[in-house]
Formats: sequence, C-alpha cells, structure tokens
Amino acid sequence: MTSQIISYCRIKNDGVILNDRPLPYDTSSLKQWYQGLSIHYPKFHKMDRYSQLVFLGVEELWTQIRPAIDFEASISMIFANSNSCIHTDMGFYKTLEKNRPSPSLFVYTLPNIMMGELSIRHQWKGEQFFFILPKFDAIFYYNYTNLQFEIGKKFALVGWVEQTGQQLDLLLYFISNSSVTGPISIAHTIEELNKLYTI
Amino acid sequence: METYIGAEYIASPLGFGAKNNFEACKAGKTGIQKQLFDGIKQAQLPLAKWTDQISSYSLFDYLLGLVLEGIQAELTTEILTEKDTLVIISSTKGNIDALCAGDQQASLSHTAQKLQRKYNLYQQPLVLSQACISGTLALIIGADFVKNKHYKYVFVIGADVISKFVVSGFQCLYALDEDVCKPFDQDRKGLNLGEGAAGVLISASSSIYSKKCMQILGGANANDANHISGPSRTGEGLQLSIKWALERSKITAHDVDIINVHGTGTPYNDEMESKAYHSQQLDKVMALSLKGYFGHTLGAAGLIESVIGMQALREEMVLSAKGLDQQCVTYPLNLSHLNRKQKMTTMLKTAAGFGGVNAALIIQKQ
Repeated sequence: MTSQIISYCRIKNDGVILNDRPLPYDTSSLKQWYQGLSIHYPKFHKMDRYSQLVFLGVEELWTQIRPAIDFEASISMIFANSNSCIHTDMGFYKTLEKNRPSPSLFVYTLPNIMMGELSIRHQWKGEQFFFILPKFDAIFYYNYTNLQFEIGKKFALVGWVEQTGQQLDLLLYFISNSSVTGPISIAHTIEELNKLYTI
Repeated sequence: METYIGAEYIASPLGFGAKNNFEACKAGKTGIQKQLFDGIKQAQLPLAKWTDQISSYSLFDYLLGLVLEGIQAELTTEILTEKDTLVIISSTKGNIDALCAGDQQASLSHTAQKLQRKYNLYQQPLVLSQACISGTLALIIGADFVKNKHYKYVFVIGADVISKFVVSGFQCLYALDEDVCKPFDQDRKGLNLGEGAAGVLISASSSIYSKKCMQILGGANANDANHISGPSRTGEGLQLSIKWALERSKITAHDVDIINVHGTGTPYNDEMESKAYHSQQLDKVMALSLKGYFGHTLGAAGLIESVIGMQALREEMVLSAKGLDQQCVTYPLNLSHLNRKQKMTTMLKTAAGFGGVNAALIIQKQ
C-alpha cells in the first residue's frame, strides 16, 4: 500500500493554509483563531504560545478527517525543529533572573510537551518522537515516517514546528498508510514534502 | 534478523567505563553527595555532580565525545565514519545555561554539527529530545533503524549536565528531595538530579563487538494522554508501552527475569510504576532500582541504567536498591537491600517523563 498525505496545514506569519485554502486567521492573534474553531477547551488558555499554535493547526487538520477511524494506538507523531523550545526557555530564564522561576513555564521547556497536549486533547496514546534537526529535512521525514509504517503503524501526524524570534514556520500533516482517505490526497514522496514546505 | 547491542560505556561521577561504574555500585558507593549549589538560591543540595572541573570547555559536548570514543574502543573495526553508521544523541536540555546566556553555538543542533565535524561522521547525528524517556527511546529508535535496515550501525549516546536552569526548574516544582533520594521508600520525598553520559552500539552484526554482545528484542513508547506534568494515577501509558514492547519482542511477562525500573523517588512516580507492573503481572519479578546511585540524569538516565542493567546480566548480579529502607507502594516491587546473585537473561527497561511519555524496552543476554 502506498502512503498518502491526507491533510496538511502550513502556518507562517503571513497566514495559515489548510489543504490549499487560506484560512481567515491572523497568526498574531491566536485567540481569534481559537474562537473561530467554536470549541470549548479551557486547557488551551494555559498552554504556551508554541503549544497553542500546534494545537490550533492540528485541530484544523483533525476536523477534516475525524470520523475516519479510531486513531488511538495506530498513530505515530513525528515532530522536529531546529531550536527545541528556545522561546519558552528564554521566558523561563527571565523569570529565573528575577528570582521568581515559574513552574508552569518550566514544564513547557521540554519540546515534547506539545505532543502531550495533543495526546490529552485527542486521546492519542501511540508512539511519539521529538527530534532536533538543523533545518526542515524532507528526506529524514520521509524515511522516518516509513520506518513507523514498517513497524506496523497506520497513520502519522508529522510536524515541523519552528518558532525563531517572531518568525513562525510550521508545517503539519497527516499521512495514511491505510485505506482511510482525507480531504486531499498527495503522494507521500520527498518531492511532495518539499513542495508543501515551500508553500 | 537479530539486532545486537553492546560496546557499552558510561561516564558518571562514579567513574569512567561500564565496568568501573558497576563495580562502584556493587561496592555500595553513590555519586550523590550534598554540595553547595546556586539554584533558586544558594543552598546545600544532594546532587550526583562532578566536584572537579573535568572539561575546560562544555562538559556536555565533552561527555558525548568521550562516550563515542569509549564505544568505538570496544569495537573490532573503526566504523564511525562509515556511510551506513548513524549517531543518535539523546538529551533533554544540553548546554542550556550557556544557551540562555546568549551563546548561540550551545544549541543541541550545534552540538550535533560539532560532533559530526570532530569525528568526521558521514551522517549528521540525529538528536532526540523527549524528556526523561529520551535515553530509553533513543535505544528503541536505534534498534528499529537497524532491524529495518535503514542503517547498519547506530551509536546511541546521551548526556545531560547539572545546570542552574534545570535545578531551579525542579526546585520550583517542589520535585527535589533535600536529602539523598529514597526511591519506593515510605519516606521518599522527591528526586535528586544527576549528570553523566552513556552509550552503546546497536548493530545487525555481532562480530563488530570485541566482547560478547546482547540482543535488543524490541520496545515501544506510549502516552498517558492524561496530564503534562504528572504521571497517570494508574500508569496507563507505562502499562501500554510494556504490553507493546513484550508483543513486539514476541515474549510474555513470564519471560522477564529483571525489571530495570525508572524509580525517581517522587511519591507519584514510584506509586504509578508499582501499579503498572502489577497490572502486567510483573510485580514479583526482581527489580533493579538505580537512581540512588546516579541520581536522575534525565536524557542520559535510560542509557546509564540500561548499561548498568547489561552489567547486571553479564555478572548475574542484581544490585541493592540504594536509598530504600521500608518500601511503601500499593503493589510492592521485588527489591532488595543486598546485592543478589541470580541467573537471568531477559531484562525489561522502563522510563516515564513529563508530557505523559513512557517507554519500555527488552534486552536479552545470549
């Protein structure tokens, strides 16, 4: 069976694209985006901005394919970026310099926390991985996703989740290695991944 | 196809080399000692930390190089520069103090690039950062890469060092014990932080190892999907990861001779673990609890503890549960105050961490 990208979301400072269509949200106001989703999830407001961004992007992806299947154990999450969570690290460091270290910020200084938030939200309990790569690397993503399919997984939620200074650079996508389809169908190839990234 | 693991190495305040570290533990020594440390405020803290400066440059980068060389020294052929060799680096926070002080070269991706240049590695090292399961998960990833023929050789190395950043973070979470930690004990109050590094080579070839190697049968990771900074009360994610690891290894709970536990010494973690082992019919199996020797070395913990576990399998010796006086968890583990001689071949290594992550891995002596 060949694997297919069945939904994707590209987030940059100048806007959000969901499956080839721009969404009417401004990434400088995540609250507006959250309200646009018409969900009630109080935990959202406790997350750091980085987790909020990923949460919103995945929420958009997921509403498109939700009814398809029980993802609980058959999904792998593969996330990466180049700087771990330096943004939140610096935030915590500032509270430390003022001699008032913030425990709630400290928890978010682990890059995998955002995947924990997604697990809680969607009750996904399967494998998850957070890698640090020098830059977006389609070959790595392609190979590592295939490795997950080789060990028996059926779906992957893959993310390049970079936030440098004020610059946002996120690409999130679902891949199906099963008969389950989504709103789009793009062949899972290195070339297509590079195309999605350059959107 | 078999997947082998061996050429193991440890650098910790207890010593250098896997055997030296194991001997120190066997003799009842611990790397943890009270020392003055500038965390939230300057205070005496029990830490497993080098008291002498052992590297003039970044201790973290130095340790990774030391481990890489330590592993290579136990191999029959020089393979570091080969095309089908990968290095996986496991760490939670790397050089975090330097990074926050503005040194851009201190990031984990820079560390990986420096290591690649220094050792002339063909492949760029892959960095995994997944809280306290990083080391155990890096072993699982390495084994999957080899088993599925993505690489022939995978060096899995990991390190974390004591930093003001991390110590203060754990202090503000009230997760540290002010005295030496007591995993699974009735008076356990929290963990002690430690620093150190360890590594192994995972390979499809058994002839690459100078000494007898072992097999890595399989592993899995699972999320509690419950809370980001506390373990699930029932240990659901840990249960799942053990269940999947056993399935993938094609063995059952009855085949497990020893559990190499996570056991941090925090009230919640140790209780959660006891429930998870009980649910998987593993609570009678002999348990190896190592945080009382090394402290919690975060991203290195799964590696240091797996390597010590491999020495336990080699010497057929279960180390005493250091720090344990009177056990108090709902389903008591099979822990001992004394070192025990015991025939054993199959080890389960577990880990759990922030973000609700859990991992389990099976290593078997041949």
